[in-house]
Amino acid sequence: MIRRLAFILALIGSSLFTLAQQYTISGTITEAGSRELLPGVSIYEADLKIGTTTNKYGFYSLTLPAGEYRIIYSFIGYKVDTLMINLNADTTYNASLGDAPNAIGEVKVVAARKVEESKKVQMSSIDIPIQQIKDIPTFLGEKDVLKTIQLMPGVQSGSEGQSGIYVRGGGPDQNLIILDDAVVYNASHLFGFFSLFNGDALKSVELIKGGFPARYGGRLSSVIDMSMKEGNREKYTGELGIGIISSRGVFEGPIPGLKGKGSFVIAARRTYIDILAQPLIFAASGGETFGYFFHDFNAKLNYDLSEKDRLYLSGYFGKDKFYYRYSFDDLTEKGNLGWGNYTTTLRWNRLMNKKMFSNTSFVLSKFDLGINAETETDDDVFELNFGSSIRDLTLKYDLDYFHSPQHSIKTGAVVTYHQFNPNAVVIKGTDFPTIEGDNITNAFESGIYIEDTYKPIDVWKINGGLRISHFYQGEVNYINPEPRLSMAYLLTNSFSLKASYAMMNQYIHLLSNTGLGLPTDLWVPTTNRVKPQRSQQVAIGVAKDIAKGNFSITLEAYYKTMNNILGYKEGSSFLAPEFDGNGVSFGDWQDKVTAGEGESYGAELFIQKKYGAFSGWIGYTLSWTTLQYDDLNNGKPFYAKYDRRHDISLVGIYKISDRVKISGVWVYGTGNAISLATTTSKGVAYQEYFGSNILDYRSVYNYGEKNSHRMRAYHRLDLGLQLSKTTAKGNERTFEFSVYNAYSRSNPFFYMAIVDDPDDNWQTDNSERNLYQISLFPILPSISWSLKFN
Amino acid sequence: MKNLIYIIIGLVFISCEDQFLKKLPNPEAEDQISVYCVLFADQAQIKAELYHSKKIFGPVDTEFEDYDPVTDAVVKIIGPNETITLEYNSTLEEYQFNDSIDFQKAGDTYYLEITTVDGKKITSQTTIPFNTIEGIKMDYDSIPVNPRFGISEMLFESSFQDMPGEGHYYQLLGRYSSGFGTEQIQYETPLYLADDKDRDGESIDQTGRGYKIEYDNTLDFYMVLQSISRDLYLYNRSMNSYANFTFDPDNPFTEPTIIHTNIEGGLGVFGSSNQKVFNFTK
Repeated sequence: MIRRLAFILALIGSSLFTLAQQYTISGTITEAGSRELLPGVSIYEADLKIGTTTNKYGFYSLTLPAGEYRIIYSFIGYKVDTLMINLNADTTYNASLGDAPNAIGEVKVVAARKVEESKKVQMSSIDIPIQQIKDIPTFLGEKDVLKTIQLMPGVQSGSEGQSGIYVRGGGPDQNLIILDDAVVYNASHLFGFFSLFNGDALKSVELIKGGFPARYGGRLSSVIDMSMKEGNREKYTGELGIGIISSRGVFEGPIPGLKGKGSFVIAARRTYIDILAQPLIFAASGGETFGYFFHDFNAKLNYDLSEKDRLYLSGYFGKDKFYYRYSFDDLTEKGNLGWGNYTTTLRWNRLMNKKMFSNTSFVLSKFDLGINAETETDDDVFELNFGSSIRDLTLKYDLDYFHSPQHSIKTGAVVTYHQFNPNAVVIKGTDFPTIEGDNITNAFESGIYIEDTYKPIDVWKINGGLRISHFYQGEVNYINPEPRLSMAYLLTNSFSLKASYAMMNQYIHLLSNTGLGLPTDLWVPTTNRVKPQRSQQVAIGVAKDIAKGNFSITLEAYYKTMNNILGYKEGSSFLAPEFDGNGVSFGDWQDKVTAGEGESYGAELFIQKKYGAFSGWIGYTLSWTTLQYDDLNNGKPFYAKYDRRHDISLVGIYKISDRVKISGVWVYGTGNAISLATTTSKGVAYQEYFGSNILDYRSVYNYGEKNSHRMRAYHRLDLGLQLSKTTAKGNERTFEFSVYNAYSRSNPFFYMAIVDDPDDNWQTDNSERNLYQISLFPILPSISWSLKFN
Repeated sequence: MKNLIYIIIGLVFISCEDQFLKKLPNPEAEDQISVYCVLFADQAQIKAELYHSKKIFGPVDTEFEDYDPVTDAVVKIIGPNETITLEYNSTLEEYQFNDSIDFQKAGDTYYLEITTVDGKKITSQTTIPFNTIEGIKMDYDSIPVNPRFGISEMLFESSFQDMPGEGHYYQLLGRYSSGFGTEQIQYETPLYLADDKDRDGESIDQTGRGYKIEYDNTLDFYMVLQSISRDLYLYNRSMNSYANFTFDPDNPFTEPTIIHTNIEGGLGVFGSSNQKVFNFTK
């Protein structure tokens, strides 16, 4: 206590009178064995209880008055390092967690581990250990980052099997999904059943649901920030996996000839149902061909230009494709539906001095959708091509300044050039001229930010920031300030109160007929008619760490408003071409949309045990989400489709031994809100009055209020078993058995009315129209095998 | 291990019954009465149509376009100075009042009160809007589309000035006489509907289409321009949307159109209109 008091006095003295000499200890933290940089590592002085964390790139800087210190380096899942040091000069210390002692001072490995949820100023954020993503039961053997995120409180999953994410009442377009600084626009394969991200290639995943730091912008509801592995700098390692629908592989190691100054990692996946089934389909159909596949490829290179400069080049390339070909006599029909994401990031990290670190990124990001259909006869050819795309070029600069343990600043700027082409169409035929049309729009989006993490007294921590966002399209400029604030007050050493506020603006919109987040949904920009989306969110909560058992508990309540959120006008569709004398177009999309408002509020409980023989979490969300559009539901507010009163997830992973691991997931969610017509009535479609009414009638379905019915509740149990064995050569083989939906609950995907007729005739007087639920997945067992080699 | 696999396979087969298509209890639905009644300023006739609704779930009614009229309700319209009761005409299947020339006045509010034979009350209200629309223009151009048969397409350009103040709603109908007879001008939707949101006092323009034969050198056409109540506007707009886009109400991926209603205890609309007819010859 006396020592802490002395430190505080020294600090005050140093800042006011610059009496005491201060020194900085800085460096990078890596993983032992691979030298992979570790973000988010906690570094603190053991007695003073002050410290910092490594930034996204594994760099830290801690400035203290001259003296002797015991500095702890701790990170979840790794053994803790303790550095005893007499700090009398600026020092570089690169810790390697779990590794042997370093040359500076005395380092000892400590068995104790820290959980510091209560110490974080950032609230509404969850770091998801990659290992947990790999350990929980899988859907058809595919490890899925986004489906793991769906199990977190405050995150809803949409429909059965989908990887779409709905955070605190927001839509799937309101999530900023970043992979190595590149924005990913459509993060799913197979119409949303699998996410794009190959868990084997990822190093870290962080989900932020509120209290957004100023460095993030451009989306209303969440940030999912993922970093790819950099690759093992010391040896070649890899992993091969074979599942029932796909196989995958990852290979990493030092770049030959660079003497440990660089490394690489490559990872790839491909489904093969089409390859296996093709001969059967061809034989059974007498010449028809159809199939589906997806593949993705991740690669990353990094190279140390100098002790202070590091260069990264990373990329993601993924593609989905449905295809068919059918022949009969002289008629041949063929076509395909394909979509893909492509990102490339070139990053330059520079350690400017002991306290300043910068990152410069140049990013290319692209999402393309293409639909092609061809009909060919002996004397006629007809071809239709439809496409939509969004392409980004981004330049980003971030600067971290670690002034003192009490004060650090992040600042930076980003500018993105967007090119939108929501609907391009080409129609060619033998008997008529080629018709072409597209709708390219260019836009610039930029932002500058400053973010200050400040600790005025020992128990207070504040992160305040301001982001100025800007969007230019055509003749329209939007400039919006976005204040951000997060605060934590430590009531005891392990219990804190937290609060946050964030304003966000979103300048691009996703138009969706289905709300499912399909690749056919269209990205469109803000224009002079379509205003930017805006949200404001406040949250308050408590965080408690329980050292015994390594538990952390958070309880948060939030209230969020959303303005100018877009929806289709009732009945509108993008895939409805309009023909006129000049060709074909899909009309002006702005005529088909309407802007509205949303409100979401609720409470989230999260009890997490991140490591140990038993790990897992309990998440519970109680929430309400309503929307209001002047042009929908006759202007009355209605529940969002994914308004979910109760959402529960229970996740448990138990390591029975080094060879056996079992896991289970149980989820429960209130049913989706839907519009369900229960009656029909006589409506008047047309009326004219000339001395008398002239009326034209139409039978109409009466839905009541929009989304006024509820589907049945969703619940499901998944189980997993991993059996591992290490071979004599040190390789690890793992068989994994998963059972999706273990008690085979028929969960609702959608409802529809079906006419049942006892005589199997079309509607007769004996027919009855009944309500049916369509479900997708019964119990689905799967098996996969993997080999990790060193 | 072998036993585990047997158990899993067994579970798959046992559980697949009714897994993908599950019949649910049909939702409850009560009989609702749909009402259509529009008051016209300074017109003599008032009529109201009342029909029973039909349940969607349960026994299928093969005569799905036929609805039973409500024949025994008491239908009253309460004006600022008097209350009138509409009489049921079984031939026309509607409730009528044919001498209301001094009853329907712009600016007045009217209350609809329906009492069914089982004592159920259905109510609504509307205020007849003013119609001081100015700046009405209408013209057309013809473009030959099939010279062989002498057929031209006509593009009707019409415009009018929004009345001062906000909260005005308009409905436009056009007709023309040509070699094909009297035809309706085709706007984007069966009725052209407009409001003055974000364009108070501005000119409201629209284009309609029609066809004529070349030798019809003169053309008579007219425009019925109605200033309508907000509820009638919303009802007609939802009916337009329903007519144009809702091709399959059973399709779960179609965004349903919610038909607007201002009827408490029922469906449909009780609205009002103030119309002007403009004739043009060219």
